[in-house]
Amino acid sequence: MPELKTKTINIALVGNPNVGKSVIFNYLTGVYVDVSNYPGTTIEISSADLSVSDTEARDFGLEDYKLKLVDSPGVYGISTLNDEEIATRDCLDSANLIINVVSSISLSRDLFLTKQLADLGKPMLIVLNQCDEARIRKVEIDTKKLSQELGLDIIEAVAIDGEGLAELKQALLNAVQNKKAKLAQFKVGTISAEIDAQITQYYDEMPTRFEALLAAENSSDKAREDIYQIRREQVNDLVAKVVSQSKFSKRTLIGKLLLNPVIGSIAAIVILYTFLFQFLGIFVAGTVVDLLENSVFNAHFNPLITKLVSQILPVIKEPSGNLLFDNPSAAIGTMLAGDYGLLTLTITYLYGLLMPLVLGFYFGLAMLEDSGYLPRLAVLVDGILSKLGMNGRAIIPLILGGGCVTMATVTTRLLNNKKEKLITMALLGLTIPCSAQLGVIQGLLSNIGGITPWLIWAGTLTIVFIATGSILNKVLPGDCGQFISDIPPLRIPRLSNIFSKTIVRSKIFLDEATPAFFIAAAVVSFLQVTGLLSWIVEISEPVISQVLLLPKEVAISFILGMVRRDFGAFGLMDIPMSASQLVTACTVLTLFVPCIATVAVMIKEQNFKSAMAIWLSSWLLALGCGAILARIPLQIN
Amino acid sequence: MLLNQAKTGQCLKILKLPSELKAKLIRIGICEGDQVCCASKIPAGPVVLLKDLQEIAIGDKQAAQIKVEICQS
Ligand SMILES: Nc1nc2c(ncn2[C@@H]2O[C@H](COP(=O)(O)OP(=O)(O)OP(=O)(O)O)[C@@H](O)[C@H]2O)c(=O)[nH]1
Repeated sequence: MPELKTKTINIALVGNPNVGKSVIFNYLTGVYVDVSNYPGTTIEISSADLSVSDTEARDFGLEDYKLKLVDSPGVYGISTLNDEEIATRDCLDSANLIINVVSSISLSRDLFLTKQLADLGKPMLIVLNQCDEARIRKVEIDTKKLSQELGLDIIEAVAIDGEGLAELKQALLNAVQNKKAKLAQFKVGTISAEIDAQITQYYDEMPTRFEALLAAENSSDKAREDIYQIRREQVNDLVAKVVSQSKFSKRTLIGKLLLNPVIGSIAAIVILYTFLFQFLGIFVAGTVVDLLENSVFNAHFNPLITKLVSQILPVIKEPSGNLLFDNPSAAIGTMLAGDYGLLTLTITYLYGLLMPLVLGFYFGLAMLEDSGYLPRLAVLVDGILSKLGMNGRAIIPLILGGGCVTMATVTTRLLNNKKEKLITMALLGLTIPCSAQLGVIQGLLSNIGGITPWLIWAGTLTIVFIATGSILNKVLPGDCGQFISDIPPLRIPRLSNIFSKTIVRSKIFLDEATPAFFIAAAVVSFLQVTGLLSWIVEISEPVISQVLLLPKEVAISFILGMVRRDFGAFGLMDIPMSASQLVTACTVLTLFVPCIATVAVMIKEQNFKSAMAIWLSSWLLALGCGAILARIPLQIN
Repeated sequence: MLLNQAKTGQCLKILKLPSELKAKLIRIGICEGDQVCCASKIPAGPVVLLKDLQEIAIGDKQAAQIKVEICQS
């Protein structure tokens, strides 16, 4: 008797960046993976079983089989040029069947990978995706001929509308018939005589075409270039045969303008200003948060909780001395529902402030991503970033940092160069505020009124950013990475995709932030009821009031900020300060240490020494800049 | 001339690719002998090339290693 669900057919979903693999994976498995119009967003490999209904399982005899789909990162080819390629290669190695997704508007690029995959000699299917875009651009593709030339079956699709995907699923289900794997019905790519000649010498040691080809391509740069050149010529011939291109170009007027040095830069400033200042600062952090905080949490929720808790335990408004010693039950009551109470303040912060801000940030980011704007921004800033030891690609983690510095630090992985990685990480840790902090700070700054406070804050950060980058670029050895990037077409974002992406990412963020928030709040309220908090405030008073010229209560924000950056910013909202004090406080807090989670990721991705160097220098930078700002007379009223 | 000296609108023929970039560029679709169009040049920044339906950006330092010539079209 066959064991249940033990036999697995591995299906690898492979394609160039941005061809729609994630959308297809999503459709076939029902599992959401990040879909975006930015090349290289799939860093982690996700795998899931093909979702089949019970009837389908019965009809196809799938009871004994698992059809496992693996979504690989987008690559232009498989060799060892970067981590994504190595990951894709491993996933091809274990695949029984390859689905190669190609985009109909970039065939001359995509078919290179297709040819390489075909050369590997595994059963394979081609999905010709984004056919709608080809139609709009009046690009005609002779699919039949392409299929003949390649010797492979092709399914035409518009993944985003589900077109062609049912057919794809059907084809996959057919992989199992009468309880037997029927992989033989899938065609195997043919290898051309020219390329075969290049790899024959490897067949002795390598039993399969897969191994022989990869061994040949990786044997030397020269060998690789030769094979690539042959393959490229084959692809160009093929494209000439099957694609009839009309005069319509893929470039739209907007696409052209966004890459124009002058107009593009102005557009970039306007877009980022609208996103950060108008949308996050004024709308989300101002209007939405005020509404939630005042009319939901402060008016109803918190009084209710305090009332409920104080029926059982005493809650003290302004505890002094060591409450835990003197009156333990009041201490617990205060920890639950006092000023820093776990049930009051923490919940208000999490759902009244953090949630709208995080949703707002990820919504904006999704719009930027799905429209295809980010790669254009990368082109515009590449020149500047290369002066700071990075390249244009680094703009992605830097902007992501505006969501969560910790997550962004993880994505520095997509940079292939060590020096660039370290610099990006340092700049993230030192100068980039994360979404909640960003939101609260934008809110505080726009409350002061006028654009001057915002300009001072943004200006200081820019100066620190440029100075730190240039210094690190000089000090650290090595070159910055190469910048070669193909630019996806501009697309009108699909709202459904924007919403699901926003919700999924915000949820991941909040799931991670919630426990950390409660721990941070527990620590602080513990410090409060034991009297340690006021002690810390006292001893840091000289620094805060002498050096930064700020009210001593700000110390609490900084302590909170060390635990979690975003948590720190909230504390600032309740401290009365003058306009220029607020600007100083916001700037210092932004520059101040990255939170514990970020430091942990830094240690993991780099090493303990670099992480500590970044952490300690942020103390110096924050206090130094704060001291200077506090002493410059600012014209704000 | 070198690719980083290209100006917007020029039609160029790729003469020589440096070996560090060759494999990468061939895969994306640019090889020696190809005709491309310079779609944009950011001062001290990347060159954006137009090849078939594709836009490809190449950083200033990398473009400085690529030999091209202007072709009349
Ligand atoms: N017009 C159109 N857009 C599509 C189609 N399929 C996918 N897209 C869009 O193309 C973009 C890229 O899709 P993804 O699924 O993230 O592509 P991917 O291949 O997984 O990309 P990486 O993860 O970067 O490798 C998204 O903005 C999709 O909305 C299609 O058939 N037609």
